[in-house]
Amino acid sequence: MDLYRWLRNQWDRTLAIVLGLAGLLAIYLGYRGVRDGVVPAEQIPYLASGGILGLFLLGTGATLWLSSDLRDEWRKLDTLADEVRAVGEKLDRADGAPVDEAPAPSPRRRRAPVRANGR
Amino acid sequence: MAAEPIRHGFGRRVRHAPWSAEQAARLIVSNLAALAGILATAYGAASADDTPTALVWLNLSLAALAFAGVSNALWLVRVHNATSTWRADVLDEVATTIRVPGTVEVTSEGYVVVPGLERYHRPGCAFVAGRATRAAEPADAATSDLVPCEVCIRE
Repeated sequence: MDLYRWLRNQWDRTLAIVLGLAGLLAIYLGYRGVRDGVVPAEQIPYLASGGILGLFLLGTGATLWLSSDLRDEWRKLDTLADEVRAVGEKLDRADGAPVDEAPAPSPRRRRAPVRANGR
Repeated sequence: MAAEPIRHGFGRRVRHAPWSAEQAARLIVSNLAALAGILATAYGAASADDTPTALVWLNLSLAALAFAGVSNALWLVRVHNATSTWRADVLDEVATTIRVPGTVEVTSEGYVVVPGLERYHRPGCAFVAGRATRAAEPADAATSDLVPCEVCIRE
């Protein structure tokens, strides 16, 4: 597959990887700064910038990655829902097949109430 | 911000992700605020003249990190719950739409009906194969609107 297309389609995973790498780099640079520092006053800024910033970037990257997994599942469920609905309509049409009459409402068409906002 | 179409019933036009634009904007703003806080406190720590002052900045930096962590965790919980609810709804619809063969209930008379429909059939009829059925006595047909299936019941 074309790399550019993959990166565009999977922009959230791409961003998650970039953030993760940036986080690891920040932690490494912070480690080097702390290692080379002599007094705590010199080391703490590296801890605050390298260490804390690195953890933040790693956490944000992980959140993005997990979100994209859940979004993929959501889309697959959407596809499945469409297919199930199509099957249900075919079955409903088959209900009245022996003669020309519309089928009575079937309990199969009962819809589960879905809360607004997906919850 | 324009309202995004929200899922109000099974199979209707829906969002393409388990979050709304407003929720995503809230997450982005909170993460940007946390990032700004971390950068500002790192600058403050670098400008501090002594260790106690630098430690105060470090604590503030940790607070900003915790804020981002809580914000991201809440986001993930919300998105996970929305996806779980949608999954349960879809599976419920699958269960009520598609019945596996072998669920036909046979009475002594051997007639079944699909609830909501007007014909009774023999259990082997192609029109009830794989359908959810209940038993139907031929005597019921005389007192109700049920009529025999023209395909499987020839009198």
